Amino acid sequence: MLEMSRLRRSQAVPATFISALAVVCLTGCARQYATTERRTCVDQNGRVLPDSYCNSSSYNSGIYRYPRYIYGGTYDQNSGMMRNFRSSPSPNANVVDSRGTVIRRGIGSAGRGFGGFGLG
Amino acid sequence: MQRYAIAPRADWRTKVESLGLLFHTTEDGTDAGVPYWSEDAYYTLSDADVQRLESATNELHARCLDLVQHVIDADRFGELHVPEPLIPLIRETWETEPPSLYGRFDLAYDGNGEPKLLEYNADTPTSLLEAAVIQWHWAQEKFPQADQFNGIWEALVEMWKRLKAERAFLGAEIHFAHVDEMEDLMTVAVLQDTAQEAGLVTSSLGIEEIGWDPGSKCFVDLEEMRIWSIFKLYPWEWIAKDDFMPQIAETIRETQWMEPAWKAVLSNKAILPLLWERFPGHPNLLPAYFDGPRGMTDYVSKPIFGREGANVTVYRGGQAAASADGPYGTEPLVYQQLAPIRPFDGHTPIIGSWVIDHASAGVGIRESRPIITDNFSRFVPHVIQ
Repeated sequence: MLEMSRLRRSQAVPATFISALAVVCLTGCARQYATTERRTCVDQNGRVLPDSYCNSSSYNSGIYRYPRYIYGGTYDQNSGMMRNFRSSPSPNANVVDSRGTVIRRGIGSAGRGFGGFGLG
Repeated sequence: MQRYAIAPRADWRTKVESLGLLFHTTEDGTDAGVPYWSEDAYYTLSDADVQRLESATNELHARCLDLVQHVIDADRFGELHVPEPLIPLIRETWETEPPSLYGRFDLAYDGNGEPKLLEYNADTPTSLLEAAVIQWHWAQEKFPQADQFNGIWEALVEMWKRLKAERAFLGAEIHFAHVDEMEDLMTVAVLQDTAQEAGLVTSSLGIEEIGWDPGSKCFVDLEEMRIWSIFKLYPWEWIAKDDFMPQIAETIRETQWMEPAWKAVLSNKAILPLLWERFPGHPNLLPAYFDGPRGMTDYVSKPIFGREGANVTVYRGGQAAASADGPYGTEPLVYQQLAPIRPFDGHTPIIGSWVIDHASAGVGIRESRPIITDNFSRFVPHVIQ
C-alpha cells in the first residue's frame, strides 16, 4: 500500500541551465548549416600534412599540440601553408576531411522534431 | 479526476518563456495561433487516481520489459518491423544494460476504471519541460499548499546521482544531442540540467554535429573530443537509416547511446497486439491485433511508427468516425479497441505518465477537442486534491 501522505511533488526545480538557455533562445538559437568547412592536418607553421599524421597514436586533440587539425582557411599555393583558419569547427558547419569525405552529419538526415502523445 | 476553469496568471507568457517554454503557442496560420500551454483550466487528481496511475505505470513498465525479453528470445522482430541493422544492437544493449533513463506512457484515464495503455514513448519522449518544470512552477503560484503528481525533476537528479556513483558511464562527460527543434532542445535541456545538478559534466550538440573520426574510429564532438556516453533525442529507427549506422554498430561497446537500442522495441505500436497476446485481459491493456479489428466495432487503427496522431483512424460502430492525415500511410497498422474516455467540458484528456529510472515519477495531461490527440492538443496542469 502506498503512503497517502507522501509528497509527490519535487521539493525544488531550480532549472538553472534551462533558464539561461531560455534567455539565449528568446532571440533565436536555431542552428544554420550554410557552411562547409574542410578539416586539414597541419604542422605548427600551417603546412599541410597527410591526415595520417594527425591520426597517429601520438596525436592529442588539444589545440596547442602539433600536428593537429584546423578548420576552414585558404591554401597558399606559393608557401604550401594554410592561412586564416580556425582551431575548431565553426558552429553548425558541415565538416569534410581532406578527401571530402563527410565526417559529420552522418546522423540526423530525417532532421525534424517529433514527440506528442495520444491515440496515435 | 475533475477539470476546472481558472484565471491564467496575468504574465503567464513571460513566466513560462523564462523557464524555457518558448513554444507555448502552436502556429496554425492565424495571428493568435493555438495555445499549447493552457492555464485557463486545470485538472484535479485524487489520491486514488494517483495511486492507480502510479501502479499502472509501474505494472506496464514491468510488462514491457518482459515483452522485450520475449521478442528477443522468440525472435519476433519481424512483426515489429524493426530495421535489420538494429537487431544486433538491441540484443547487445539488452545484455550489457547501458543506462536507460526515461520514458512516457500515454494512458487513457478519466477517473473511472483502470488506466489503459495507448502507447509507450520509450525512446524519444518529449514534453518533459512542461511536465517537470512548467506545471510545477504554476502550482507553486496558484496552489502552493496542494500536492502535484510530479516528482519528475527530483527523480531525474537522483537517477543521475545513482548512475554517477555506480560509475555507469564510460567517460567523465555526458553529451546530449537533439535535432534543431525548440521542443526537442528543451526536453534535452531538462535532462542536461538535472545531470548538472547531480554533479555531472555535460555538453550539448546537434544530432547532425556528431562527428566520426575515421582515424581513431570513434565519435567526436565539435571540439574533436571523444564521445563516450551520449543521450540522443532521435529515434533508433531513423538512426538505422542514417550514414553512421555501421560506425555505431561497430563501436556499440565503446560508446554508450542513451536511450539504449533495445528501447526501439517498445517505442513501436506493434507492442500493443504483442502485449495483448502475452497478457490477455490485463486490466491496463486494451484488446489489440495485427490482422484487423477481429469483430471490434469501436476501435482505432494506427501505424506502428506513427507520431502525434498522424494517419490514425477512429472507427465507431464499424464506420470511420475520425481520421488524421500524415506521412505514415504506407506503414503496417495495428488495431486497438477504442478507449472510452469521458470528455471534460468537451475536452478529451490523455495522461502522459513518466517513467524515470524504471519507476513512475509523475504525469502531465494533454487535452484536445477532437478525439485524436495531435500536435494542436493543449498541455493542461494539474494538482492533487
